[in-house]
Amino acid sequence: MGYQVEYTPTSTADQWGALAHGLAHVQVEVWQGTMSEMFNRMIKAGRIVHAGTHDAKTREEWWYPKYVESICPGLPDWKALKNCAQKFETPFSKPSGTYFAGPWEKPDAARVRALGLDFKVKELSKGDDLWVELEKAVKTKRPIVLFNWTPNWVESIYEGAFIEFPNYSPECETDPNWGINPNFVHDCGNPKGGWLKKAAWAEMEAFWPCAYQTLENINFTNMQIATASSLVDVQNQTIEDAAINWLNDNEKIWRKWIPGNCTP
Amino acid sequence: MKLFESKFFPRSKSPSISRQLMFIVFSLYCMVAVTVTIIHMVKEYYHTQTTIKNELQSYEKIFGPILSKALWDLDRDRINEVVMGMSQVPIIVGIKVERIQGDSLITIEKTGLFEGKSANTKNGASNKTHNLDNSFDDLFSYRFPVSFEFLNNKKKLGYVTLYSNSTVILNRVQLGFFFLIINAIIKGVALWLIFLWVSKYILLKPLRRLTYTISDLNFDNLSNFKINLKTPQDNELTVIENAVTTMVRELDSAKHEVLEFNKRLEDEVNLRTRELVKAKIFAEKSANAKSEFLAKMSHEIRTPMNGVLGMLHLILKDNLSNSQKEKTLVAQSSAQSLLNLINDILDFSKIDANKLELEIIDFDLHQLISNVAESFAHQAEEKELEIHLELAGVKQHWVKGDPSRIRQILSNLISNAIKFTPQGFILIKAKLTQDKAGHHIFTCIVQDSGIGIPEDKVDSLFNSFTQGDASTTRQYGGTGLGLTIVKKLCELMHGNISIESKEGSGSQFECTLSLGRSNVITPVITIKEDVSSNESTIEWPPNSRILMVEDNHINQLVAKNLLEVMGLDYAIANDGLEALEVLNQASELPPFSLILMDCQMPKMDGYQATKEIREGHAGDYYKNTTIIALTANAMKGDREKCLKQGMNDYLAKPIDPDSFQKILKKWLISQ
Repeated sequence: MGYQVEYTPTSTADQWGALAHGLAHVQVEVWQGTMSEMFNRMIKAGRIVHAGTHDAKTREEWWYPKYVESICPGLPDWKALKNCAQKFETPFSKPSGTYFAGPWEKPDAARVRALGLDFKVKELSKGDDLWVELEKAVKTKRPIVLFNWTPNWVESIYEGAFIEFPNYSPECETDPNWGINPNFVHDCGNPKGGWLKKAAWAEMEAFWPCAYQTLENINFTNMQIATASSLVDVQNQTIEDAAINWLNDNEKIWRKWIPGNCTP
Repeated sequence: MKLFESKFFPRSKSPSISRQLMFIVFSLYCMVAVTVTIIHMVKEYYHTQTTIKNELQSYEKIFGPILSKALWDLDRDRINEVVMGMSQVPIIVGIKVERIQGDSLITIEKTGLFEGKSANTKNGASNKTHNLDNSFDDLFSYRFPVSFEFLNNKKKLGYVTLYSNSTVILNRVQLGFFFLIINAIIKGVALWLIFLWVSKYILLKPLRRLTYTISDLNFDNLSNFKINLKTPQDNELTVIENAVTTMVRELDSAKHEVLEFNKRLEDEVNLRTRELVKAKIFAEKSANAKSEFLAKMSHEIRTPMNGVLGMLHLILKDNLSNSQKEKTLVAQSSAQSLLNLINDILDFSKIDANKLELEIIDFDLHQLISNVAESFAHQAEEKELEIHLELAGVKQHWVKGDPSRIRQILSNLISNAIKFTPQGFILIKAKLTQDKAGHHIFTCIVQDSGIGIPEDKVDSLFNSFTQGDASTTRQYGGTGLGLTIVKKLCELMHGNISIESKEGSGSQFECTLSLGRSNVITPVITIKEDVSSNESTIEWPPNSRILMVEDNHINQLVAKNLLEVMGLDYAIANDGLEALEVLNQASELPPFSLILMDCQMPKMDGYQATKEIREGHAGDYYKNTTIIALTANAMKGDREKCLKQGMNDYLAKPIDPDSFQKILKKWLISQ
């Protein structure tokens, strides 16, 4: 299409400002679980625009590898964790169990407190560190519970399941009376089946209309995303290589995304 | 001796020099202290303002990154929270957050500023708004840009302005100011106390000693003068102390010189005074001698005149040829003139020696003026002059005063008028008024149509021995003493005399004098006696016999002749002693019915003889016999002296035949 595109790695936190102030222009995966608040605020401020929703459904939640079910019976029901918290013990949390969280802001500590779980939340500084911890646990079949999401490459490599906490409701985050613990908020899990949207700088369409229309058309399913991400995370391709390979392998898909009047 | 009683230096109540000095120094100090303190405070104020600006700057570092992120994320809630947070900082009274949009700045947050305009002002922040408005002019601010670093690029997102104001500064410097003022006050009070103490010991006490010592100094204690100011060191006060000491010593020695001089002066004055007293006594003796001489002269001159006039009177009763009669009349006229002259001179002498004393008796003024005028009627007639008498102004007849002297004044003026008026009239106009004190003021005008007096002579007219001019004396005669005596008499009676005259057309004399009020209300009707009745026809009581006591032979002769003419029997004694002898002698002749007693006589005078008679030394029969003084003592007091000694009446010599006859008739017939 002839556009010069620069890919700028940046933190999730800074991305919104960058989009809003026109320093970055496109974000193709906006996760409901972690980004809806900022996304909605930016939309409301009119500084970014909603460029369509993927078919993929997202979930971010506590997750464990399949073998853990035998060690802690009753999983994926969250109540099972109440009985076998000590089995998730690490030097960090001894004698309580450890929950490995990513560098994203999540109300995990609040949830632990509200649901009366004997766990301590260990926040890892990089998202990739989660997979390091997972790999170590899987090797020794040690019980582990950690932050994970879908779509993600993990699900294509490890078999496992999300913990089923009480169902999410907006009141759970604001009203203590709601839910099983009348004293605390966050006595629920994260939303299930969350959306995955695309966002763009508000003035993108005016500057680069074809690129914007193409963005609107881009649509991934959960599997497509998991497969694509595994090229890097599992097959250890560089992002550039993975991109070239994906483009080559899926030309039928992306050709449809480009509007007819925008074809070079 | 105290020459001056008052203090040299009165202790004044005005503020002391120390107090004045204190006042000036302290006022100046206060001015300086206040100025310095104000400068200090202003400096402190601006220093604090700078400090607060720096502090505001430091808040950039604290709040900058958070605001940066919030602006980056367009997180209005976060921005608001941060602004709220910043507004809690005591020194920040207002905050303004601006966002860059394109080329313009949009204010997205305002707190504590522009009341009512900020849509975003919330809660606590708005509370500050009101306060701020009051001190809006005192605002000062610090503004800093807000940027966000994204991919090594700084993106400027907007500006934040932090405001503070003078209230914040004042709150900060309050304590400092308080200490500054306390400091100034403590310094001031300390300075004041130190100055007070120092000035008291170095200046005030010595000065007070000095002023007290000098104040207590007076003429009497110069010798005891001691001064010790007790100054701790030599200074100007020591110089003053020495100078004052020296001055007082010099004053003391000068005082002694003055006292010495005064004593000498006093001695000299005493000496002179003694001499003056001596001289005064001498002068008084001389004056007394003169008076006595005058009295004596009066007696000695009148006695022969008595003889002359008496004899001439008797001669004229004899059968004389026309030529003899004419010559005798001239002699009588000359003798009368001489007697008048002598009387004038005597009066003048008495007045001059202040020996003239006035009688104060009741008399009929109206009658007196009439009589005097009448007595000149004959004289005026001879010159064919008309005398007009106007007495309408004298409504009160009886007054108190000296009638003989008033008669003398009027006679003098009228006789002058007649003398100097060749033809025409003489007008006598009298009136009696009252002054405020109730005294009678008697005014008499004697006007004539005579020769008048030259203007240049008028002033000297009342001087002794002065007439119009020398030729006047030659033409009209007179001593020139008349008007002088008149003037003196007027003055003695608290009056005066004035004159208006024009040469050739007459003169007008106006005399004024003061008279007392008389208790006599009813005018006494006097029966006019016929003086000109024939002496020989008098019917004396049978056996009327008179003893004349007189040492002077001429007087004896005059009286003897007069008595003979009147047909009275008589005897003569040459002095008092002889009189007593005569009275004591048993005689066949009838006893004496009346004694004529001269006062001045050798061996025993008339006063003594009267006393002896009244005491019965001449026999009981004569104890109450009428004694009439017959004396040339014309001085005032003679009459009283005679009456006091027991005499019944008084007759002055030279003997006037009419008066002599009158008095005899009075005592011989009416008794």
